[in-house]
This record gives sequence, C-alpha cells and structure tokens, in this order.
Amino acid sequence: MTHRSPPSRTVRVDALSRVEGEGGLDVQIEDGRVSGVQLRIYEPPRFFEAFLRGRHHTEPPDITARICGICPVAYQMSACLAIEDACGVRVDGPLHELRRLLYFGEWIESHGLHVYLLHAPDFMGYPSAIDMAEDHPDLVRRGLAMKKVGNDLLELIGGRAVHPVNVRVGGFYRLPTAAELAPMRERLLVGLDAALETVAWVAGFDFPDLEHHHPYVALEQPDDYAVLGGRIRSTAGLDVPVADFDRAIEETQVPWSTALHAHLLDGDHYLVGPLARFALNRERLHPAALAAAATAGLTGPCRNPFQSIVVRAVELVHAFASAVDVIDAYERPDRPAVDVPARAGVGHGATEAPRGLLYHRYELADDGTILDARIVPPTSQNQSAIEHDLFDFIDDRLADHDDVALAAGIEALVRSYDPCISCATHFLDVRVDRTGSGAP
Amino acid sequence: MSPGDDRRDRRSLVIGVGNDARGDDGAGLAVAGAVRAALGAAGSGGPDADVRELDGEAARLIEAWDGRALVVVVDAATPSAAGGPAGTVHRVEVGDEPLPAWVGGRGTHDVGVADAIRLARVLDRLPDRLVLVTVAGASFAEGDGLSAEVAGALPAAVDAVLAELGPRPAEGRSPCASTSSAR
Repeated sequence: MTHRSPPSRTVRVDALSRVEGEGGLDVQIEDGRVSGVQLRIYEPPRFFEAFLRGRHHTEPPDITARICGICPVAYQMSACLAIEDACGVRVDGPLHELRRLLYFGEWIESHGLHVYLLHAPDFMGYPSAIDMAEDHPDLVRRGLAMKKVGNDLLELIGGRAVHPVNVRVGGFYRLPTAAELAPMRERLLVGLDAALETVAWVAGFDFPDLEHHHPYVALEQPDDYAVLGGRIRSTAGLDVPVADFDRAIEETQVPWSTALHAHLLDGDHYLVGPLARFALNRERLHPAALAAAATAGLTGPCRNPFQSIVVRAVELVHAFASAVDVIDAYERPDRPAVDVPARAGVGHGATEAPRGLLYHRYELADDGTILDARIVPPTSQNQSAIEHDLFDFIDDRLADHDDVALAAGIEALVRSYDPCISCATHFLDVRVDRTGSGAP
Repeated sequence: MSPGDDRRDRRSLVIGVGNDARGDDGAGLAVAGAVRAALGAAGSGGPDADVRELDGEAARLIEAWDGRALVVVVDAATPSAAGGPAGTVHRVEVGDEPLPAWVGGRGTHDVGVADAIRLARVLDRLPDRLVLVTVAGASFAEGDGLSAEVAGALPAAVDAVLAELGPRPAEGRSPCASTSSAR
C-alpha cells in the first residue's frame, strides 16, 4: 500500500482495543524516520506495595490477587513463594503439584482468552472477536469452551476463578478429593484435543515479517517447563537464583511512564513471556506439546513476536496435558497446608505468569509484619523491548503503509505481547506524530 | 468440543461486576453482597436466585449467564451527561435498542460487559432476559472504599435488582433514574 503524506501531520488512534487494561503509546516520526517510541504506562504509584506494608505475612495472597483479574493465581503463587522463603519454609510434594494444577487453570484461561478473543482476529482479518464470531462461530465457541475448562479448574482448586479464596501461605484451606478431580480430568482431555486443533489452526496464519534479538528471560528448572520457582535464566547467559533478581535486573524511571523500566544490569532490555519460556525450556515441554510445536514448525527459539500466538497454543497443549498428569498422580495430602511461622527476614519468589516472570520480594519483622514489599510484573519488564520492536516495525513500514494500516499493525504487534496493562495502567491510546520534510 | 458441561441452571442469577480495590468500581460487588444478604434474610419465601461476583471479563460473563432464564448484571458506570452524575442508578433491559454509551464505559474492566452482550448475541448464548443495573461512579482510583455518592446510591440499586427478582416490600424503595430497553 502506497501513501503520500504532507510534510507534517499527526495520526491518532483513539484506542488500542483488545489489550487487557489500559495504556498509551506515542510514536514520533521525523523526516520519514521513526525518532522515538514511548509506551506510556500509568502505573499506580506502587499502590499495592504500599498497601502491603504493615499487613501480616499471611495476607499477600489475598491482597495481591486483586491486582489482576486475569492472572490472580500468578500473584498469589509468587507471593506465597516469597513469604515462605522469608520464613524458611519450602512447600513441595502434593501441595506443590496442586499449586501447579491451579496455575495450569490460569494459563488455560488466559491463553484461551488471548488466542481466541484478542489476537486471532488480527490474523483472520476481523476488527474484533465479535465480528469473527459472525463468520466463524464454531471457532469462537471452541475458544470459549477451552477457557471454561480453565475457569472451572480455577474454581475447583481455588474456590472461585476471580480472586481465588482457597489459597494461603503454606498451601490451601481445603483440598479436593480424587473423586472431585476425576470429572475434571475427562474435561481436560477434551480440552487437550481442542488445544491441539488450536495449534494447527494458528500455525497456518500469515505472520508479518519481524525478527527481534532481545535476550529472553524465564525461570528454568531441571525437569520441568518451569512455572513455580526455579533459577532465572536468559538466552544471553544469565543464570542466577531468584534471590539475586536485584543483582541481575534493575528498574529505572523514565519520564513518560510512571511504571519502572526493567533492564539487565548490562543495560540491555529483555523479554519475558511465552517466547522466552519456549526458547529456554522447549525441551522440557510435555511430550504432547513438544510434538505439537514440531508439527507447527517450531523446533527452536521463535524470534517473531507475532508468532507468539503459536507458542501460546503450544503452551495450552502443555497446560492441558500436564494438568491431566497431575490429576493422575494425585494423592490427597493429610493436611491442606504446612505451617509457615513468622520470623524476621527477606524472601523472594518468582513464578511464570501467563505473560511472563512475576517477581515478589517481602521483608518481614519477627512477628510477621510486612516491612517492605516489591512486585515486578511481566508487562513492566517487557516495556522497553516492546518499544524497540515497535521502533523497528514502524520504521520498516513508513514508506509503504498508510496511517490506517500502520495503526492496525501497531495494535496487532502490541497485542502479540499480551500486555496485562491492567496491572499497571489506566488506558492505552496510540498517537503517531509525523513531522519534517522527509515524511513520505 | 462442547461448551462446558451440559448442566443448565434456569434459576435467576445476579452478577455483581467490578473490582473492590478500585474505588467505585466496587459498586457492583457491593450491590451483589447486599442482594445476597437480602435474599438470605427473606429465606424460602424470597426469590430463588443465585448471586455471583465477577470481574466483568466477557467470556466469564457468558459462561455465568448461559442458559439462565433471568440475569441481572450490576456494574459501575462512567458518569456522563447522558448517564447522569455519580450515584445515578439506571436500569436497562437488553433488547433491540443499542446499549447506552455508559454501559461498559471506562472503568477497570471496560472491555467486558458490552462486549459480552454482543458476543453472546452472536453465539446465541444470552439468557432469556438480561437486565443491567448501573451505578455511575465518581472515582475509579486504586484504593478501597466507595465514594459518598455511590454509597448513597446502593439502596436504590439493591432495590432495582430485587424488583427484577420478584415481589418485595415497597418500604423505603427509591426509583431508578431511568428504565429503558437496549441491546
């Protein structure tokens, strides 16, 4: 598409829809080249961190679950791991496995939502899932059905899907019986078939050309596609325990956003999320997911952010298949939780939220009072990398894309990171400002 | 793959939508809690209805209301010239008219309710009757607590919900600002 523009103009896209939450994006174009890209994230001024100070060490799972309606389990689990670390307690065995099962429910819900209702319409040529459903109702029904399995799994283990109430530091309040899990196992198997169909479907999309080279950062465990804890690894050689998060990653303030930008200590931006997990842990996927990835042509790290939809579909397969395995091996523990007595100390916890690594740090007094809290969500960590990708994407297309096509591409690219901006922002508004005589 | 399990609950359902950590976005949850208490107090002589709290995400709403005979969704709304100032309570029956602009307006879950209604209509998954009760909020900033305007409007919103579920004592009931049909 060719477009002739006046020397100076402003293109405004009033809203970036189908992104969870709200945020903003500014793009400056001077003399026909991109000169700046700023993702404006209006993070509540660390509201929840301040809210947590002075609370008891048993409260973070309930409080932090409210940060995000889409990934409350991620916040609960990172909080639990960090508090338990501060108190010198490790939860493993069946309780750890039940936590994984709960977490798979959240992955299924979140990825199902993103693949079918948020991102697929971009590749199917529709402005929204509602429009896509007009022509392809069975596709959308399949996505909603998978998502419902995840939702029901959250309710079964977590007590409810929104802000689960059955999670506590040390484990759970009530444990499901094997008989309660059995019907869910059958539904997960049906969901697994749907997830495999999803991989085949999205792998056939026509993806825009874009290749980035950011370091990928994800948790890594020796024998698992890491979800709960592990070491922090990167494709650039980083390999540190979660307790060294601060020694590996720093957050800095930028003038256009109240959310902090995260960088590796060498100054490089980085990306967390499905692409990072897949690059670092692909061989630890469930065999069914690894086979599905290979069938989709993903046999190594994926460097095109638009193809993250395929990786999410592969992770759906992993979540369904792994959840079945957890249920098959389930033996109800004698107690729903281990004791986590308070003590003075600092604890760190990290888990893999659907959107990527989520880090919590708590400092406790000897009576369990929270003296300090720090939460680093995945979207904040990805901000800088997203800006760099947008810079390259827009710059490559200025000459032959009109503003409408450009704005649509920008929206699709931002959606490919599945930014959970509700964790950090109020609204997303895209502005493209073109100035200078060299504008196309 | 079939859409979830096949159990269809036909009882009336009240869904409070919102986030009680975001100021007046908690209005729908507060109303739902009060409705639950009122139904409990009425006992077996009261309406037979379930009450749920959700965050407003479209797919969860559809899953919740699919197959129900009557669903009342209670949500916070953006104050506007059309929707009235903070504390204004509206009742909207989803029908053939376009939804008012304040339904699904900017809150902390602004891609939820309106999209859920449109998507459910396309997929034929709307309940037999769907009524929206909205309360215009004053502030959606982070922090617990409703504004004075919204807190003062809760009784009217609760009464508007109970009126949909069945006959209730008229004592102290305040009328909604508007009643309309929309889609």
